[in-house]
Amino acid sequence: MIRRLTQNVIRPLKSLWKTLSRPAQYLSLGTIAIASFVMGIIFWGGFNTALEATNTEAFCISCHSMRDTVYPELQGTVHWSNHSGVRATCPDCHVPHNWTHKIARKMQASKEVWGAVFGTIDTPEKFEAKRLELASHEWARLSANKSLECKNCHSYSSMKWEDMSPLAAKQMKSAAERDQSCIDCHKGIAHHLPSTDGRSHQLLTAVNISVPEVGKNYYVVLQKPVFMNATSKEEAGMLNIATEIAVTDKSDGRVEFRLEGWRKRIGTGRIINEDFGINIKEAELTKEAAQSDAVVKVLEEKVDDVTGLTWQKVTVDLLTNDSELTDNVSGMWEFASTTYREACSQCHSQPEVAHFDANTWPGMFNGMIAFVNMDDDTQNLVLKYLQLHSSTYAGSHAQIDDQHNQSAKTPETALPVAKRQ
Amino acid sequence: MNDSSSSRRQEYKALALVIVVFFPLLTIMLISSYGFLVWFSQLLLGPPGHG
Ligand code: HEC
Ligand code: HEC
Ligand code: HEC
Ligand code: HEC
Ligand code: HEC
Repeated sequence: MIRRLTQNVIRPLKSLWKTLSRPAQYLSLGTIAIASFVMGIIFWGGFNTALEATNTEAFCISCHSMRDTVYPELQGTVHWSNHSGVRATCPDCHVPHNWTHKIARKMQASKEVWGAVFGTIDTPEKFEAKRLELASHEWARLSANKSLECKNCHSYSSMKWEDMSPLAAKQMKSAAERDQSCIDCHKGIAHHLPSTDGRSHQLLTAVNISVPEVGKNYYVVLQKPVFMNATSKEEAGMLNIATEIAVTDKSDGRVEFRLEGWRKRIGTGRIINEDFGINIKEAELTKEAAQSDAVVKVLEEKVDDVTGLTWQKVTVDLLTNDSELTDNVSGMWEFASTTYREACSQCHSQPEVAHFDANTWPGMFNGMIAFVNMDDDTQNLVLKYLQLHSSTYAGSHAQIDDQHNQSAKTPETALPVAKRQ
Repeated sequence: MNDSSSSRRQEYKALALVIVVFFPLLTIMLISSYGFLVWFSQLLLGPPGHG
């Protein structure tokens, strides 16, 4: 064994060393110099070509850990297709341009090779579970280098403030003065944000769940399905969050309730809203339920001058599960207000709630929802909160708290006027 | 002459081995260890600032 080693390895090495350590007898200095020079060029060219090859999107998505997760998300963003035709590829945002840092990043990728071999993120579940950790690495990096990679394409000094929306101009101008990192405000521009689940569970702990009694009014804590009768499994629609219902009867596990609201007299009239002329959703019914005379009773009709549409005041009689109802809605509004303040002030100062009217908020809110991670229930609650505190209702805060009190409500008077301002 | 041609071949072989295999390998190892060194320093000192 040792003999073989000596014969095959040590001896050739020794003779190689002997050849190398004495002056060349046959090769001229010129030959050696030229050969070394040419090889140097070839090596450096090859090295950089290889480095470049690992700096392409095709290389990144050669791993399914990358291709099946973040890649499809990027395709829905402005960095994938836009009117300028500039495409930002993965390395544009993720690989430093500075040589030293690029090499360091490449070595850091040994962690990714490890991850690919041992499948640290090889299923969607594993990826989502790890996403916050991975994202925070990128945030830390972009935060420390003041979003250098973004600035290879975007520059504060070339931004034309006049062409931006007032909000953008205001926020971005002050950001430019401080040379603030883009990522402070523009998280989740290329991929989905890591989800922080469990908000609605917090919601459940923020209110007291009531055991419903016949003849009393309750609020829906989480969105709930409704049914046409006591035993049907077929859903007849959904009650929106924080909607007030009057319980009229009880049977095991379910309550019969009456809901008052307004709907547009167009289409099938499936959406029931809280107020005349205002799109604050109370419930969404199936077509069958919405058109059943046993379920929906029309009390009166009125024309909204703004849209020219006829609205119907209706009562809806349906059943729902007796769980997740509360008789005290104030905890929910507190939760909504806190959530709004926390989630919507990360990037810009949170907009004044009364700055928009109740019919403008849904569009504004839905445009922002991609930026925050709220589950569906929380989204609907915060939107309802914003609508009820919007300019439409501004100055009548008392009304918000008991505006479900249908008998005291006079939607015919002040509200639509305020809305039209 | 036999002896000289064999050591001539040896010189070519040695040169080829050194500039085609050894030096590139060494350079890559050097660059990698530099990369790792920078990475580890970043782990200790935080990610690079801007500038
Ligand atoms: C060998 C397969 C593979 C390739 C090729 C690959 N990745 Fe990854 N990447 C992974 C895996 C696996 C992880 C998760 C690593 C972990 O679990 O920490 C990851 C994580 C990441 C992260 C999060 C980094 C962090 O600090 O946690 C980024 C950003 C990333 N990859 C970008 C890229 C880019 C850009 C490219 C192309 C230059 C690329 N990846 C190529 C497999 C790969
Ligand atoms: C390869 C160049 C490139 C890089 C790198 C890049 N962007 Fe962009 N970005 C663009 C282009 C091009 C547009 C679209 C401009 C247009 O046509 O409206 C854009 C648009 C945007 C927008 C406007 C979004 C919208 O909906 O209108 C934001 C915000 C943005 N980029 C932020 C960033 C941030 C943050 C980074 C760094 C993580 C970054 N960009 C990196 C090229 C780049
Ligand atoms: C202080 C927070 C903040 C920082 C930091 C910031 N932005 Fe913005 N940016 C905003 C806000 C808020 C808007 C959206 C306002 C709107 O469009 O109404 C915006 C809008 C944009 C737009 C779209 C502008 C338009 O209306 O056409 C681009 C592009 C953009 N930002 C890029 C960047 C880049 C690149 C950086 C880093 C160099 C950066 N932003 C840093 C807050 C910020
Ligand atoms: C416009 C810049 C941009 C482009 C292009 C881009 N990313 Fe990202 N990427 C980011 C930012 C910023 C983050 C930090 C998390 C966040 O804000 O969403 C991130 C986060 C990640 C993460 C961590 C997990 C996560 O979702 O947060 C991975 C992995 C990743 N990117 C891979 C890729 C790959 C692969 C591509 C190419 C298909 C790519 N990125 C293209 C900007 C970009
Ligand atoms: C990740 C950063 C971010 C978060 C979080 C965020 N926004 Fe925004 N907001 C922006 C940016 C960027 C714009 C500019 C929109 C654009 O032009 O694409 C904007 C614009 C707006 C506007 C338009 C202002 C105007 O006058 O046109 C409203 C309203 C708004 N946001 C409300 C919200 C609400 C409500 C939330 C919470 C659900 C929220 N934002 C959370 C970044 C954010």
